[in-house]
Amino acid sequence: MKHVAAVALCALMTSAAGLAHAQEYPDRTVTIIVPYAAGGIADIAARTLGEALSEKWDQEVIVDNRTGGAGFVAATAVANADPDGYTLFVSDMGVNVINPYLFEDVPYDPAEDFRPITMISDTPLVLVANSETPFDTAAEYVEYAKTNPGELSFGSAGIGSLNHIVPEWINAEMGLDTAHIPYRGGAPAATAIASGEAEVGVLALSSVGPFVDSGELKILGLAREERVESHPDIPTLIESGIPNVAAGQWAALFAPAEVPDEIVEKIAADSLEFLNSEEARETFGERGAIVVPMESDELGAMLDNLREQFSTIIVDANIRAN
Amino acid sequence: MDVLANIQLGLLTAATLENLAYCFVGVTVGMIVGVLPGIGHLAAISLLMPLTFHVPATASLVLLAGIYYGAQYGGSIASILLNLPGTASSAVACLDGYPMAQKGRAGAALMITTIASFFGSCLSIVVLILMAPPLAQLALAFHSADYFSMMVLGLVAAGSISQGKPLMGLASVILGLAIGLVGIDVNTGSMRFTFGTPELFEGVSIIVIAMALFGVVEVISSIGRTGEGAKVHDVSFRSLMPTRNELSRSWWPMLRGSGIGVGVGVLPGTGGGSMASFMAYAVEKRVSRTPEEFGKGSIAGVSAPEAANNSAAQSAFIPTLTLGIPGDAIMALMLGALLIHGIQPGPRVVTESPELFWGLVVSFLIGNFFLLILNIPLIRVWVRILQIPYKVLFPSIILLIAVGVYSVNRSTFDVMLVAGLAFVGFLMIRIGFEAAPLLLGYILGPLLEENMRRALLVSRGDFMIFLERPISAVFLFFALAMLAWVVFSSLRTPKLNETSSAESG
Repeated sequence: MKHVAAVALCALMTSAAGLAHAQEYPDRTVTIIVPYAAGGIADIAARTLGEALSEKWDQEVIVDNRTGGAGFVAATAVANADPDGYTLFVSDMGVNVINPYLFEDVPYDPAEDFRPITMISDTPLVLVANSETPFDTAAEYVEYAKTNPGELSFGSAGIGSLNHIVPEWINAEMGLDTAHIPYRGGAPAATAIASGEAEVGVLALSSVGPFVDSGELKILGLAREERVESHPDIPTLIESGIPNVAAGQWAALFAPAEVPDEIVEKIAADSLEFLNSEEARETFGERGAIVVPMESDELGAMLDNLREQFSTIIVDANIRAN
Repeated sequence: MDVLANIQLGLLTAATLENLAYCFVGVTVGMIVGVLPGIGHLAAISLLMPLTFHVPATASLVLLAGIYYGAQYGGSIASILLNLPGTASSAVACLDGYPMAQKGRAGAALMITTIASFFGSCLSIVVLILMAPPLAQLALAFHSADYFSMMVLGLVAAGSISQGKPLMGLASVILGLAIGLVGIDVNTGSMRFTFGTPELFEGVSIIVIAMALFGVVEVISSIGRTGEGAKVHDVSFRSLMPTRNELSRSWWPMLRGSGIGVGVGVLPGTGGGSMASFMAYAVEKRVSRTPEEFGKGSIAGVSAPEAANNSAAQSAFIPTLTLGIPGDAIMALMLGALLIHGIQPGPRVVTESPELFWGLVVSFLIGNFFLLILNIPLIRVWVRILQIPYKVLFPSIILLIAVGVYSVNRSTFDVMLVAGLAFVGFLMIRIGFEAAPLLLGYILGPLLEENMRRALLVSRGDFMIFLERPISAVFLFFALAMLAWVVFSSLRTPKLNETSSAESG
């Protein structure tokens, strides 16, 4: 009896301590590490959320851009950080899904080292073509590429980028043969397609806007499960008869794997409260992204799913670095 | 008049007290980070960018842009005084600026730089006002094959940058090309010479190379000369002024330099200011009637590259703002700042946010006036740096370099890399290698390779693409003509060459 009471007391104490811990959190500056330069998709997501959390917590939330090394530098820093919730990670497809299938030797394990907290934003990808190409819809593109194998080129932001993998995915689904031309980043790739050096490409909707306005690029379809509110007239690729192809340039919030449940739950709850607000919807909308609040479990399941999907696509298309 | 209405709108926006203040703060910060070796404007802009989220879009861009072009002014100061490039693009200013300073003409060199910077910027701004949209289209006319051929011309033109034995110059360029290979190969994604070090995935940073080969090597070489501390005794205003002769020999170089700067600036992906200043220097040496003076304190070798890198800094905004194409990492940050404020860069910026576009352009003019006013009285202060005894100056320089290099990526690896490269570089420069051609090879090599292989990917392996595209063919023709001219003129005047190489050797 005495024993049971002691255990109960202990349990009570630990949960109380945990609770107190979570209530106290955060009592100092929180750092969000981002693997990309300021101004990019992940950075904007981190800053927008960071600002809201900072106001809510009355603590500073700093965004730390640790660029370089295909995200290795930032990811290892987070993986090795104290799991106290004061170091968080805003990351994307490349670092959290693609890297292990792309590189032979990755110094971190995205599935084991990080704990998903919530999805923040999603920037839809669109299939675009130079305006002088003889096709105007995704279906016509597939038709043209089928009858002229090897003739078309697609531009990308680099080997292993989502802009490289998604067109290869379309090729695999539809049995097409198009050549990959890599550029140094999304903006040069968009420029190359606008200038006609490459005919097509799958690029972030937010980055092709200027060229669509000026008439150099046309949008053929959206690589997404459903249409987006801001551009209801763009059909999805799936609607156009290219099955399965849906992937966005999302940004999500992670913590090192060992961060206690209470803290993760608090961060998740506070983040979701902001992300579900009208204010968040407007702010992200203005910055070219869609806000996508998502519970931790749902995000975890989605990541597992993506890892399975992409490991096959990347291996099938024989995309490799080093 | 459309242009006048635009300028008026720009003036109304830029001349508000708020925007004037942001402009002033921007150019001042820019000049300071420019003067400090290594602490690049990239680091300064990324640090300050978050602070601008809560100010209006125009003000934030005015501030960030001010840092960018302000740093171009400051960058050459340390180059001239201490052979220490404050920014990568001012490495060229070391070539003739430092010899001028050693001859006691530091003040004049700094004054000329200030004038050339102002001149180059203003010319570029005028071009920006008159023909930004059509110039922006130029960026879309260039394909990979054209970039490749332009780089070939650049490389041929820059052959003349070498000051010693031609063979050693060539070896230096090739060494630079090899260092440029380090990192992920864009075309295949394979890692080259990274030895599994993530810090090397993106290659060796240009800041690291410039700091190691110019700055630290200079410090090591000077260790023996402890006795001769101050080289400048006279800092009277008169001694700071360039002579009439120096001034009159600077106008044409400035004009040509500005033209090159505008041309390189509007083309995204050409390496920005560094490329412009190298090209301007090479052109000046080619057209000069006294090429043997270059490298020994030629005034044209200071004014042309200075004008070029400043005009490139201004014209780089043309593709960024009007097409949404960032030419380099800094322009990408500017785009990010625009996006954060909900402004979509592109052709619509000029029509939908004219007050932003024209306000920014006019703020460039105002900012350049600020810089001019700020710089002239400061020259006396800068020159006094030379009076600091070496035993105090050198350790401070090394400390500044270490801090500066660390600040770029917050990487201790980069600091160690500077130390290692400087040590190797010192030995190599002792045996006749040269820093400037090496740096040029480093800048041009990756661009050459990337564009050539990409062009061949596009043409499915057909080399004729370089001749079939008119822009590319013209560049290659000029490169060939230049080569022929060099060979021809060296055959015709063997005597002159002998004497000049004897002098420099």
